[in-house]
Amino acid sequence: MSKTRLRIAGGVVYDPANDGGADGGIRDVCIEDGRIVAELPRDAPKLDARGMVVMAGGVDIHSHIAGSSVNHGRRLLPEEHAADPAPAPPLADPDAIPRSGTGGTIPTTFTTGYRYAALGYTTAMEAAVAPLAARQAHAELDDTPIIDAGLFTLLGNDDYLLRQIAAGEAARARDYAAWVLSAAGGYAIKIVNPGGVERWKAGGRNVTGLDDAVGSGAVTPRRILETLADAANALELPHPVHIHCNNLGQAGNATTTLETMRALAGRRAHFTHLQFHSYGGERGKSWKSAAKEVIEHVNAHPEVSVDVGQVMFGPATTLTADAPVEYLLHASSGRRWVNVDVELETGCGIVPYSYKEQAAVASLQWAVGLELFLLAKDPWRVVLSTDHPNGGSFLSYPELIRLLMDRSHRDECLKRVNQKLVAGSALADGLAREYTLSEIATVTRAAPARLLGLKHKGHLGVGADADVTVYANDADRAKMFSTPRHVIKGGVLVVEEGQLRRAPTGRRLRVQPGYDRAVTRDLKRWFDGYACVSFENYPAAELGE
Amino acid sequence: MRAVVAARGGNRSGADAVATWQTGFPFAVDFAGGYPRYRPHAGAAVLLARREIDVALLVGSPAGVPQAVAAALGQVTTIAIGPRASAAPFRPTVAIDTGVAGIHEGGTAFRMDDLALPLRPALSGPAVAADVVRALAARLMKGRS
Repeated sequence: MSKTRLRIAGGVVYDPANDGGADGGIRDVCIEDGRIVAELPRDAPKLDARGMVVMAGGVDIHSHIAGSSVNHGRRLLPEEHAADPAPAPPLADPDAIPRSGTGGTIPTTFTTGYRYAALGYTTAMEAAVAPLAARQAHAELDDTPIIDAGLFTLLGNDDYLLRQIAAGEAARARDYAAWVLSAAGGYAIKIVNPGGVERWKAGGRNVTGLDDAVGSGAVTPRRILETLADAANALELPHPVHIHCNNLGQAGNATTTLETMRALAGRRAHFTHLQFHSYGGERGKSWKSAAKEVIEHVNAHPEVSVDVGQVMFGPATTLTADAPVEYLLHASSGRRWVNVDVELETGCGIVPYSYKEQAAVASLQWAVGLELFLLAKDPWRVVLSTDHPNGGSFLSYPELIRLLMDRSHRDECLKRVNQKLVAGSALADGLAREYTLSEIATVTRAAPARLLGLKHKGHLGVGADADVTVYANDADRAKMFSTPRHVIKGGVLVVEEGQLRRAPTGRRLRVQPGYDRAVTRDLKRWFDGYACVSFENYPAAELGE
Repeated sequence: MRAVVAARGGNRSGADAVATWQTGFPFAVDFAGGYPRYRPHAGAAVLLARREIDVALLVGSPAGVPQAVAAALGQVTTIAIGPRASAAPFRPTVAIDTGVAGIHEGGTAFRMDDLALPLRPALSGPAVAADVVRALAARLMKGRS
């Protein structure tokens, strides 16, 4: 590789991982061979960043951008694609083959990579991939340029895993988790509605609490959570178990969310799209915000981290392994849908959706997300997401940033929403907090990278990946964050003067934890007996030694 | 330029999946406007019948092409790349014979329920279709600049 050098000169640098959250100091950021270095010769190429804001590239801890479920979603949305054409960008490299595509709430693969980069994001995690479907997810990421990406591997309703739990075989369950992460080329263990999807698929009702029996009475959501949280920590995975709790989207579900956090007390765990799990009231009767109780628990427990899963008004596509939830959403909304039984592993449901300011529940959801952000004490553990495309597109992050940074704008928006369920919430009572640029840098890059265990990302210290975003400072924060002036990925200037000019291939982020090979002998018998794919054809990625 | 996906036989589920993740549409994709447009009512047979097509590029086995399309392909300049392409009944202008996926070349095929599975070659054979297409694309890009 050639010695690519660049000095980003004179910008106001926000690097909370290294500057302790200081309020932006003017300094040069030097890049050589794809890494941040301490100094460069005076004659190195310069990028004039005077008056601009410099941060590490954005890191999305939870997004849905690749895999068979995402592609089923694309199939559902031809009118969105027709309405949002994405012509091929004019790339600078004459050998590059720029690709056209289409957008909407689930853009095509090339367009996804281009749009993330044009937003100043350089890393994104695809948050739900069944191991059986991992081959397709990797193929889609191969067609998703620029961003570095990893996959979270779904395990919370996996038949083999549940049988190990029923048999009291915690060590075997851990070995299986390690093997399947390697085989799927995954980065972290994902749990979606533990036990609930399996029970619903088997013809029963979704679970409602942590101690409901899933088949055998020895298997409960609580046991699944404990087993996988312990496995992730024992395997020393860079990211702890990534949990989508039971009862997503139900009134009163905050009780379950808090019970789940208490069940895992003392264990590292990440709770995703917390907004969808922070409702008070009573199922079928009433709704209210329970954001305050939930975030107070998070604030007091340093082993817990979360991403918010903010709802943004406008079109969305709900898409999850939580198939029973999508069944309910389809039944209540009457919208078109897809439901997939992913054999021995999980489920999948998709329903296009729209969050409207006039709607009472959507307005409550919007308020709950903002309350979580504004009442959070530690930005290193409460990070930004919309659960793209579930709460809204990743393209709505700049507007979300404006809501967090600009109280008067937020208050104006609050006046417009349906007040029925919002009245009496902390947000309606008046939350004065405004995020600083340093806090935004924390919740959009430094903290997600740290929570993911990506030591070379989310910061601008010596040795870090040269993923850097340069913004023109603008009082309108939505405008500022939607159109970065320059974006550098791995030392390559991908966005130059606001134009996407280069589209290098992104890297795949994956783990290969060790395991006792005895598990594979048992797995061969399991595959022969029950699976639709042979043991040899199952792994989507090279297995480690 | 106008491109069509004439899917029949072969790895249809795979072609549908890849077209969907790359263009947002499963088939009948028109790139003439510089971006993908969905024209399910103007597939290969219709466009050929309207004589809107200058050149047809057919990738895959020509054996599965429907008779109506095959007859129309005989009326335009056709480049066929695939197993036994040179034996195609519509007599392609240019034919490049390749191996058969899963026998002579590796790759990925989709089961009809949309599950991606690995293909491994068992025999060595003629040129690999994907390599031929890539080489052509590279030449075209060179010619463009």
